[in-house]
Amino acid sequence: MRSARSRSWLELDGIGKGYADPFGRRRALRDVSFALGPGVTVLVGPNGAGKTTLLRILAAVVRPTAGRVSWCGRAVAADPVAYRDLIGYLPQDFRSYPDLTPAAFLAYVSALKGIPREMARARTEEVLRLCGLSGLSPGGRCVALSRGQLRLLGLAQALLNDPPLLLLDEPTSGLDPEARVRIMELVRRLSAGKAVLFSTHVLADAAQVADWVLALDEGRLAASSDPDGFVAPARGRVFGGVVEAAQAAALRTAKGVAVVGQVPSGPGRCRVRVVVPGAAPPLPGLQPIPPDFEDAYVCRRLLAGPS
Amino acid sequence: MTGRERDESVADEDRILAAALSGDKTALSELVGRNYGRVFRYLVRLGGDYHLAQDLAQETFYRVWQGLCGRRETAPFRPWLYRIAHNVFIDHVRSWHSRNVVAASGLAGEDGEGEADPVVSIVSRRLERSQAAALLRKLSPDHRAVVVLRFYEDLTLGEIAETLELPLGTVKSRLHYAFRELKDLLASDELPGFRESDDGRDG
Amino acid sequence: MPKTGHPCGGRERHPAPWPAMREELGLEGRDFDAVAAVLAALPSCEPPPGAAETTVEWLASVPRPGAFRRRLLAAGPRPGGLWWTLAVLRSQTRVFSFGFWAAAALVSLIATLVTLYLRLAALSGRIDLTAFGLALPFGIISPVIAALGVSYALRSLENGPWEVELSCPITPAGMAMGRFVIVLAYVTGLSLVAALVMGGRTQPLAGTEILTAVVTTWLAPVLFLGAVSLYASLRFSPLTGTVVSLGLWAALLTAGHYRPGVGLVADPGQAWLSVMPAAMLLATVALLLAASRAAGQAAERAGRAAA
Repeated sequence: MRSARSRSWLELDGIGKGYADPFGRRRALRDVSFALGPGVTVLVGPNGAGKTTLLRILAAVVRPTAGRVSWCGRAVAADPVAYRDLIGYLPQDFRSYPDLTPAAFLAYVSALKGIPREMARARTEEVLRLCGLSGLSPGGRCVALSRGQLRLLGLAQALLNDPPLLLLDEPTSGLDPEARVRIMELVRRLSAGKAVLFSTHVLADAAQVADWVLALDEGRLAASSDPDGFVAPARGRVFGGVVEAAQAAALRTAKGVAVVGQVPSGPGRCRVRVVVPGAAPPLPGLQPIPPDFEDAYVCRRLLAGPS
Repeated sequence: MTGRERDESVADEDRILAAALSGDKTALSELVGRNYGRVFRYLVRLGGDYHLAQDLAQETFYRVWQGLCGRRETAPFRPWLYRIAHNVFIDHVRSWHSRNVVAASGLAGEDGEGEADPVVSIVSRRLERSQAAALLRKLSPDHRAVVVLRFYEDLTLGEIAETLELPLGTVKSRLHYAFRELKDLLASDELPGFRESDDGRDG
Repeated sequence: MPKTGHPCGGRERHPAPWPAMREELGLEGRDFDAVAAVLAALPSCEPPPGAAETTVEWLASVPRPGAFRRRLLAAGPRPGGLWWTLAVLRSQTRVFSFGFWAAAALVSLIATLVTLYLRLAALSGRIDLTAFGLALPFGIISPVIAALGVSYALRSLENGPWEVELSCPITPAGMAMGRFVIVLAYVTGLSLVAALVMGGRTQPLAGTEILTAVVTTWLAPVLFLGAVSLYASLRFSPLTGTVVSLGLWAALLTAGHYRPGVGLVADPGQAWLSVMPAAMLLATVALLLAASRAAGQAAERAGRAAA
């Protein structure tokens, strides 16, 4: 019998996306292939790597120029409307109608998602509560929401239809630490019966909840592994210790060295955390330390070389 | 089954499906009980592998149970269920994780010359060695599907079109082509040898 | 009963759709029968005993969709049919703020009162008015409200939740057309009110003349200008839609003013000779078809900007 972990719901096969611009054709994605099942998959990568483009393709908002996306064996292109009933999507640049109240906006999206009216009201209240927005003033418009509250509203609308596939583009962007923790806990709780794919720059969030990690770089899939596998290349390449401030400054400008952390540690000294592509510490006295997600991410970039 | 009987049956299945999806285990048992046999037989005939069919049938009902497969208001129940099963099969064939399993089960290649696998049961072997199975293996999956759905599952051409999401004309032409090819194959004796004694012994 | 007692020990009695199939395939009787006989001899493969029960037990043990999703699925097939479409269409009315409804009604009311005054003055001989002046509001203001309303309805393309809307189970063309229909319906309602206000206070026309006047001086321009705005908004931007539609309207009115009879504003008796209304209706159809296509491209444009 198949286990949930081996099951894939969403499959991408050779996905490519190109845009024509005045300077010649530009590719946002090239030959991206992977499969997703229930659980949390985190998508990481530098700016311009193609994360948002990929999520838009998976949300069936734009079409790929190459390749195939299929859900449970059925090509999304065969019936994108039916596929969209199965997803909840939080865009990176989420906006609402400023003159609507949050509840009215959610009621609008509920109708778009085909939620019967008699169910929509209770569901709206439920998702507002889940996202920590139940304390908002009833008459307040969306235009008055803070950036973080707007982001939470975006997450709430993605949850309205309780979809099996959640696509979240930078869900914690603009949130304070408390809200970030709440959202990550919510993501973890939801993932039991859902496939969740979210992109993030905050690798600490990824470390907290990821069952699988995808790394994009320049439109290509650079890595696809479980968290241990993602971190593995960085083992033996991360060093930490206390150095002179001048040494820390030199490290920052040294080629092939990435300083991922630096905090003061006494007069004229600081504790640094560095990642190097080789196995030797860049300075005597620095000791190898276990890598975390951020270290692993930086290490992969270093090993890939200058772009 | 008459048209009216078919309509009543479909309405009943819709009711059972709705109850099953809302968590009624009795309805789930009834849903699976009523439909497991046809799904299983379809997958066996499509894939030619008895053991694989069990796995794929389970996956089919998993997708139904999870509500993973959208169904439009106008879509009849049976073709929708067959479509899920069909997509499970295609998904399996296409999946990277199962390439070796596909090769071992004898599905690989249009020649039908799958490798013998020590774990393939007597049941599967009997199936594979039958002339009918050899004939079906000679067809492409697309043509095999229309033959199985029409000849064995007794779906109408319209229902086959719904199941495979094809125009009706394409279904007709595929069926026609498939039967012509089968006729030519029979006439040319190109099939791998099969044991006359097996056919005589069974039934 | 199979001799071996095994589910695959015997031949299944297949249903015999042979006569119907033979006719469908158009094969010679003997050819078909030979193939069918071989196919019918396929060893039957019933599922192993207890397989269905085992599957049920296993299904009951795996994580299920959330309670809300289960209720939603049980509420009916998804996506739905006509009722679903009507519910989505109704939801599009939320896109229009109260300010829009009020402003459009106010402008229409003012235009109606002005027209009434001018017509009464013309009838009493106090002023000499051209057909241009008599056309308010049917001829001039209604199309403007339609054009501006359509551009306003599509403002989410620029600074609204277009991405979220497109990720819902509705086609871009469906959404755009839905808003177009809502604007037209509202303009129709306002025009009917205007007609009631003016009814009986101006010289009555004969039945066919009324129909001709309505089509040529109201319906054709409203549909045409609304379609121009729709296409330009989707193809370029809502601002472009506004500018293009109003600019085009100004040009047409000017041409009609200086060349009566060939413009769209003509006396009822001459209206049927004017080619402009017919050309407008044809152009409307072409523009609506093009707009359906442009609706999908609007998403791609937004995607390119974000990539």
